[in-house]
Amino acid sequence: MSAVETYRSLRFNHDRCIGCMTCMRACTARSIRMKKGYPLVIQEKCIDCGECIRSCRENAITSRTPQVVDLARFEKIVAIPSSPLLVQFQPDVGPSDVAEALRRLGFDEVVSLEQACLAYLYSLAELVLSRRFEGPLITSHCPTVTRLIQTLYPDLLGNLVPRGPPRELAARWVRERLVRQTGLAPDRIGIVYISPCPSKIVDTMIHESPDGGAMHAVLPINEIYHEVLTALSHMRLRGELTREGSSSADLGWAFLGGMSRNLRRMVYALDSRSGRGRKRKADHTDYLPVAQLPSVRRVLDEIEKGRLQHVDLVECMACPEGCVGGSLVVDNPYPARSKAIEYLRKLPPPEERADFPSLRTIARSGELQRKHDLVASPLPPLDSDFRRSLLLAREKEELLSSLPGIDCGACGAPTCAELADDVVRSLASVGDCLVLAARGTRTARKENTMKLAEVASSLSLSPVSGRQHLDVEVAGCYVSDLLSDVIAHAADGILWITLQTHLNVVAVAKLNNLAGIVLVNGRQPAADTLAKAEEEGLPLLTTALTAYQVAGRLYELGVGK
Amino acid sequence: MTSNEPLFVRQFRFEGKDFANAGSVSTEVKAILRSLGLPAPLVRRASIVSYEAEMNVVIYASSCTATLLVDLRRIVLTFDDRGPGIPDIGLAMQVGYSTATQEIREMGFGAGMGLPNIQRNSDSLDVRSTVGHGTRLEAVILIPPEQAS
Repeated sequence: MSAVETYRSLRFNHDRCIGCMTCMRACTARSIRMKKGYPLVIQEKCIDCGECIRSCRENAITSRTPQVVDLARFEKIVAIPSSPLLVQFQPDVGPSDVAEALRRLGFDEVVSLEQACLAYLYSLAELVLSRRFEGPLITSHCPTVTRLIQTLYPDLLGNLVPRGPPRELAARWVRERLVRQTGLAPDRIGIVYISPCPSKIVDTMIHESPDGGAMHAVLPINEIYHEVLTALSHMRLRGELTREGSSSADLGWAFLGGMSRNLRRMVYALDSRSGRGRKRKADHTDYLPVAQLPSVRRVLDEIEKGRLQHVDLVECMACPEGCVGGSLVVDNPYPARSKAIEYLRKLPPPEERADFPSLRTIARSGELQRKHDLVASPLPPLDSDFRRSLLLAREKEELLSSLPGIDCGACGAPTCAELADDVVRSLASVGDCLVLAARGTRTARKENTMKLAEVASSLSLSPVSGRQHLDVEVAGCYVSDLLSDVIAHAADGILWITLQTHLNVVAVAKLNNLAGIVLVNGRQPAADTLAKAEEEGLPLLTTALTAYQVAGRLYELGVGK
Repeated sequence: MTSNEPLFVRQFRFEGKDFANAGSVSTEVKAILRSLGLPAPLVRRASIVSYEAEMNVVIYASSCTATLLVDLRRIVLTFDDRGPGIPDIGLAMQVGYSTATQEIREMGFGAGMGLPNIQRNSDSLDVRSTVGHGTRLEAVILIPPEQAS
């Protein structure tokens, strides 16, 4: 049994992981930390982009296949392949061959997304032409993009296209049809989506519910690829594009810009059918396809600032070149994209295969409405109390200024800023910074030292932890309540005088190898501080005296003079 | 303000004409205010104020020191620039008034909305300018008392 840790859609295989931190650096949401040599995912931050899977050289990260893939319990099993699967193979393999290969693998039916994509395009074209929206619309079928918006751009939730993705609609339709045709109970019909990315797996897992859930299971393309390839090798290939009468609607979803191209055609067709002889609206409609998270974020930043007002629709995809570049896709995205473009040219455009009256009926029925509202899930503030948050924000700034700023990652956080954030949220310790630790052991002058026990008794300080280390020599004293200042100036053997009582004082004292800490003004250490100090063998001493009084007495005693 | 009230201060220094990095101050301001747990509409207003002020510097001035200050009661954004200054502040506050060049307008800036937008999103705004020297803008956004309690 190998050691595996799972987070959201991800599985981390500890037997393969060498702790190289490549995934931590690749993570676009900075959600990965290294703890005890292995990656740990801060799940609220993860947006399921799959960059960690892509980056891992040891193949230690895979996507999590839902355990409901116990396909044997179903009477009928239906496959819904995502469009990138159709363009994964050699040039002589057509989408119809891929569908046939899936049937040979045991799927009773292979359902095309064509009709659902047509309905979606029609409904979106209506929305675009209605001009009843403010600022650019943002496509919502890439779950990583929607999650990015939910966590970091909650102000833009209203710009998201209020339509469920075609894969959900297709799944509902096929289930309804099969229930009608076979009389089977809905839960006897297994619907399996074949996904190019982990985000659609999470999306399906989260939304799965006994009645409303569209899909029963999701298979990653890379897990079924080999079986499909084997089935294809036993078949006489027909190389046909797709079934009779279908259009390029589905394949447009495979790569960046394909959906916009199809939508543009649909908008023109719908505008000219409106009969008012005004093709003007369609002429003045702007589409902006954008892929990969850094570019997507730049565009979202601009939209948030009120720019890009001339754009009507932003087609946002997280992966390079769109879904053909998904992290669970096998083929290089560029040949796959070329192949999809080739198909798009050969297949009839969507408006030629669209039955407008029935598409209008579907659009009016509300079937395309998103079944699950997208709500903001912003990252939690530093503290639920505003006053504490302000204090922590200041502490974080201060800490950041004392960190080396080289983002080496050796502490287990991807950047110094993330470490500072983790420290004030009590998720990490300043002592984790190896650069500071290496710098920290400066040697103080070892003259006029005095044992800490002697200092304690002459000033009547009360040791509350680390009593076994009171024989340490005190080389001098330093008074400060700024952690960064102490890190920078308090050396080996120094007794630190402060009124700070939180957990991080222990880390700072250990980092700089201080003799101990005197907590002044009658302050008592927080419970976790005390426990940590005890664990580290660090003497904490309390006193009702002020910092001035303690320092003055020590000076009188001649300590460190 | 009493001396033991918590106070957060962050300074930013940036250059004029640096369109490539324009907007980075307001992005940072937004992230900080969010981490403090301030309500979204407040964060949005502060983000708009800092973006517009930042763009004014990028378009017209040569360099700037911006300061974000937050205490329990207010957010204060200060933009202190070295630049040509504003000869007539009253005129600059009018919607649509702009001295931006054609090139700047072609980039989609300089529509004369900057200062009016800042004013609309601030609870108080103070602009002082010395022609040939620079401009100092201070915008205050009040934090509702229930937030601080």
